[in-house]
Amino acid sequence: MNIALLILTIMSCGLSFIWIKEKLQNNQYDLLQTNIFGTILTLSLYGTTYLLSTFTGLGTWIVLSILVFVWTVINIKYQVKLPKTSWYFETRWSLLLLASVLTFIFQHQKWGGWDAYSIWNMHAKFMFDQENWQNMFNSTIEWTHPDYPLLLPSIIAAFWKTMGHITPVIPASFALFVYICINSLIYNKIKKLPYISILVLTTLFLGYDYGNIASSEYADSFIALVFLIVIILFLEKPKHYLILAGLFCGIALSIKNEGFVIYIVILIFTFFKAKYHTKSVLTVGLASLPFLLILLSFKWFLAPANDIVSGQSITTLESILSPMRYFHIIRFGLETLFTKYYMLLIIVILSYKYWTAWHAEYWVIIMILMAYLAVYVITPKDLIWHLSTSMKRLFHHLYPALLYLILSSTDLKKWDESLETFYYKLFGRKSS
Amino acid sequence: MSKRINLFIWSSIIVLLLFWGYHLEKSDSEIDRLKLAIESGSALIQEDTNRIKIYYQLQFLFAPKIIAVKLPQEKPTEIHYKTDSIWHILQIKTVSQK
Repeated sequence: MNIALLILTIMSCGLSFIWIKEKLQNNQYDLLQTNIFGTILTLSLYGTTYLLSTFTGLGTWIVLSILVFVWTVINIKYQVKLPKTSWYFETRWSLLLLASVLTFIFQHQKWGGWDAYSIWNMHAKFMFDQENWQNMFNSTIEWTHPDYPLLLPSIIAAFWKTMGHITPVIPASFALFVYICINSLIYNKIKKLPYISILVLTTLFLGYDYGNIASSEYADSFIALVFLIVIILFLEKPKHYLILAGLFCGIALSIKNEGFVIYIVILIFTFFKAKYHTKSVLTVGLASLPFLLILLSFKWFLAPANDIVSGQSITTLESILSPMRYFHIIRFGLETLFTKYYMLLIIVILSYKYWTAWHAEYWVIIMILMAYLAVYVITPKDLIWHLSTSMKRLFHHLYPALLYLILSSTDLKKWDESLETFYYKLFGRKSS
Repeated sequence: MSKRINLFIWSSIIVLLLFWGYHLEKSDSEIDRLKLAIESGSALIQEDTNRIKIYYQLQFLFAPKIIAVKLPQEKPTEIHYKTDSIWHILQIKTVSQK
């Protein structure tokens, strides 16, 4: 193990985490959310640092030292103190953790699923070797999609570098951590309502593909988590939510190409939500600018053209005008919804009676979904193959955020009371 | 009481994670078996295993080196792959899936 690198890593992560946490806690923000937001932001900054050190050819320890210096100066200047923390010794949350760990472990395979070892973990192996990492762009292995953003591989490679060797534990642990974060953020919304907690979390764990995709070590759960955080920020509006939303949109950009759709939609949404107030859009745009610049440099100087973009030709117009393509897309969409995400439908049906408000954030989900479906219309690949391999994962990006939005749109207290009454009728006694 | 239950759950989580981490390091996946096959020169694979999958797994094993592979259309008895300008032969012995 590289001890110097480990110390620098811990210092860098620790200093940034303290700053982020302190900034969020100034607004009396929820501790569980704060911890998760802070950790994800810290890990993403850490991965970005590693990415920069690889791009620039500077040693990781040099870039990390600069980062530690910058964080120290910021923390001294703003007199940041270590925030008070407490352990979450709450039985229900502990049980949720145990259930998450169990469901993840039982579905997990070493080195992940097909895309994990042929794309994400493969890229991480390239990133680990900072001398020969550009072999990734060799034309003979175009099938690894070298145009995909490199944040997730960088996070994995950075930890491998710190440990001094490549191990399957790192990508697996990161995937488990992301899975736990998504479950915890949803749980956090309903933690005071025992009956709804049980209902919603059971539906989460029983939804076959949700846990399966999370344990496959793909980047889809990571982007779903970041998108969920953006939606929570817009719904709950802490003091600096636009800056934070911008940062998380930047992280989404750096995870997958689909992050670009999320980024554009959030910018449009911010413009309309702020009643055409350009300052809000600028805040989001400026906060995400560092991530955007890194991504654009990567796309411009290193990455080959994206297969969907470069595959466009005169036949694109034919595709747009072909009604059968729309039919297949809608058929596949409905099939995916009813066979893979039926638990979401159950929640919608059960919560319908307690519906109280329509949030503007639903438009974000609708716009992103439309953009995703539009890509299928113009895809140069075989449409049926493309739909069958990716649609369930695109739904997965939106699933946790949509679930959170549904929970935010209902009178949860009333719903919980009615569930309690149902329980009372079923078992003939009042629960303790 | 609640504290004790919590302590029990947290201990279970930690033990489970430690065991899982150990299992991940020590257990054999398809990729590990392929690595062993490369070292011994022959691979036992399921009849219905996708040959492209073997190529992807080989490339994963050798990354950041780039390998070239000759994959015959029909089910091959051997796979030819090239690293550092040297061609290697991996004997394939198929087994029926029970």
